[in-house]
Amino acid sequence: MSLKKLWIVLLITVVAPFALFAAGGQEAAEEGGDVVISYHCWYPPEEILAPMIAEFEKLNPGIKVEVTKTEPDTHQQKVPVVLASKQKLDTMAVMNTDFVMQVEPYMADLEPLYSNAYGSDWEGKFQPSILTYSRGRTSGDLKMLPEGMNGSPVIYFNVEIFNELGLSIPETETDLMKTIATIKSKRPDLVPLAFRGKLPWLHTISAFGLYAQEEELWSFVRDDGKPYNSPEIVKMAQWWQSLYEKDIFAMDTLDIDNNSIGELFYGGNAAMMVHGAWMAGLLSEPYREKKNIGFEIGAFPYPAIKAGNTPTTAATPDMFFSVVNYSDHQEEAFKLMDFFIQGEGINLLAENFLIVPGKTDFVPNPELLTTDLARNSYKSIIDVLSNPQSALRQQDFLTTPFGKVLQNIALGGDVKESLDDFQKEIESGKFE
Amino acid sequence: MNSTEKHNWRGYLFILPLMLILGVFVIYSFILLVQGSFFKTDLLFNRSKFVGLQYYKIALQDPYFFKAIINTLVFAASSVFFGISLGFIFSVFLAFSIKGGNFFRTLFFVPTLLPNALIAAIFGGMLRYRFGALNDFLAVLRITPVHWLSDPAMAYISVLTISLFMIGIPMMYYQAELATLDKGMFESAQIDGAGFWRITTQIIFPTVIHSHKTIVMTLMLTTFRAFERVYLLTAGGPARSTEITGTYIYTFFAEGGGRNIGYVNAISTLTLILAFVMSGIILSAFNPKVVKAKRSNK
Repeated sequence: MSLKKLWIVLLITVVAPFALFAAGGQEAAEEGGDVVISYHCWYPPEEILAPMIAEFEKLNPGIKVEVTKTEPDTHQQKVPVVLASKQKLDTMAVMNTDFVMQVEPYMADLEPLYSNAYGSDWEGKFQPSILTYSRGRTSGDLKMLPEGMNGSPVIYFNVEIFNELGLSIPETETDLMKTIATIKSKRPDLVPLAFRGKLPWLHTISAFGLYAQEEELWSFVRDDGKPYNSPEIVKMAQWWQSLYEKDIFAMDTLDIDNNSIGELFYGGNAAMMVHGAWMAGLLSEPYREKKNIGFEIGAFPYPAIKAGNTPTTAATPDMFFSVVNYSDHQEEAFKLMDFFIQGEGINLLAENFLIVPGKTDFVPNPELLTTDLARNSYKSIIDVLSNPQSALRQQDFLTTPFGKVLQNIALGGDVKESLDDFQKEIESGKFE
Repeated sequence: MNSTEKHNWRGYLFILPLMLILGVFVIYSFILLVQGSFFKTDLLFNRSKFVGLQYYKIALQDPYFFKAIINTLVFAASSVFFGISLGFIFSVFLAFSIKGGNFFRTLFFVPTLLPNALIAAIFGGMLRYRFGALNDFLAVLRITPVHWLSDPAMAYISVLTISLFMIGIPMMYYQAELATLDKGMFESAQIDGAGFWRITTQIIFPTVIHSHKTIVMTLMLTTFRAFERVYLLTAGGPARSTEITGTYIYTFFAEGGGRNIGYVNAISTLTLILAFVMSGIILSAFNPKVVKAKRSNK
């Protein structure tokens, strides 16, 4: 090869990637005169999101939405980088975690946008607690708003199995223990209560969320900075361990994850399943038909730890949205956000029961909940979500590392020693 | 300039594009990684504060990071053990013209072509306590089911054992080198009275030293990157029992949402240094001069 040819090959090697990159960058701008807005999210599933976006574009001719949907972890890591480098992004789904702190400098003030759209009494369109909560998450101004409330855990059950074994919805933890014992003795082939115990964060959510009916302890450690080896947390962890000792949860649930819990429960191999309120679609017959689930499903909140307690769960406003303050298309971006929160978008989402909408004029579609059991089950979920006693958010920082500690406790590890070790880990400074 | 010098100069031009890519994506990233480990900062590199070696100190005193390193080394050692024992033995057998040799070659090699994530997903389903294929099989034999993934000790063994299915790569290296060996050497050994076992262990095994080196190095470093396999099979659990450096770094980064990038950088740097040290040890152990010296001492 001559030297001249070699230089040409080298030049192409170096220049070609840049040329391709530059050509790709041109695409995002405008599309046939329409305004193209860029939207980043991790939720809801594609089969629900795509029709929502199509509906928005139908209702808003002249606006096209370029969706970037990623896994939650990727969203959490990617969006701050996109914002910091001022790449094209007009509106975004906001994770209610430390993510808020990271992206707050790039969030537009929503009050002027809502005033323009709905007039001065726009606040009446939202439940007051949602507005108070949202303002509290940023530095006073309203920079993000949620679609509604969500929470975890609640318990879904296979109605056929309950009928076959003559079981009823347990009112207390002792009742639940008896229910599980009955299932184990009469149908040993079944998993009595499937729990995604492989996921450490779920141990934290469940322990703190459910124990809140005794005492709210998450704000105790998160906001008040109290140590994780405090007597109060020790007591809660001992209760968590007792659930495994009493066989309410079992060691074999520690290998169940998001996929396998579905296989177990939908396949009729588990009598009950611990999951989030966002699975409430299972209560709806049309939804079950769509998912090829051939049996009726009911739901109830985790029962009272002791008689007289009010059942609860870890529930907070969920699925926040914000408009990016450097966006050239804030008005269009706001329209998309409002579509998701107050418009047709939230109605579409609510039909899938993925969230309990936060808008004041929401009415559930009566055609979807066709039996008394379905309606009562859904009401019981709404009741626990509306009166959350735990301050815990699903994606709060430290839910995963603390969940690993709770896994160890579930396996019979020494409670005090495990919590002392975790407190030492906190004090080491690695999480700061 | 003589012809040899001219030849060398053109050689550099040929490797220049690769060096540029390496320079941008590897060396620059490494510098950024090390630099970031001295700062308390988040993913956006906001509010950076110089903290010196503080994160290294925390990492080196962190029993969970230490455990992740030990686990990585143990998993790597098991991988190497399976590779150079079973991988070597199977390769020797397959070097004979046995019936169905190609079938077995393919059978052993196919798992190495599959994505790690797929292997982990398949094994995850097989090893599940309830309705897992392996426990269902044990039930047929009236053997008590085992908590393959939910008991920390068994989960550890499960992760160790899964590397058994990765012997396709060592077998590939061994078979390539075995094909180049002079058959006359074996005939001479046979004439001198050496049996199969003696020929295998005392002639073939020491002769394929280049394959040993490549295999040990490859398998050792592959374990440092065995993230998907462990993460999808056990997520480093239960209760951190199967945590390796990759899962430790990733979960710390993901659960903090990029909150403490300085610490993530420090533990990544320490892991890289460890990988370099391990590579150095392996390279020097297989250095021809060292090997020759050891043999002459015998």
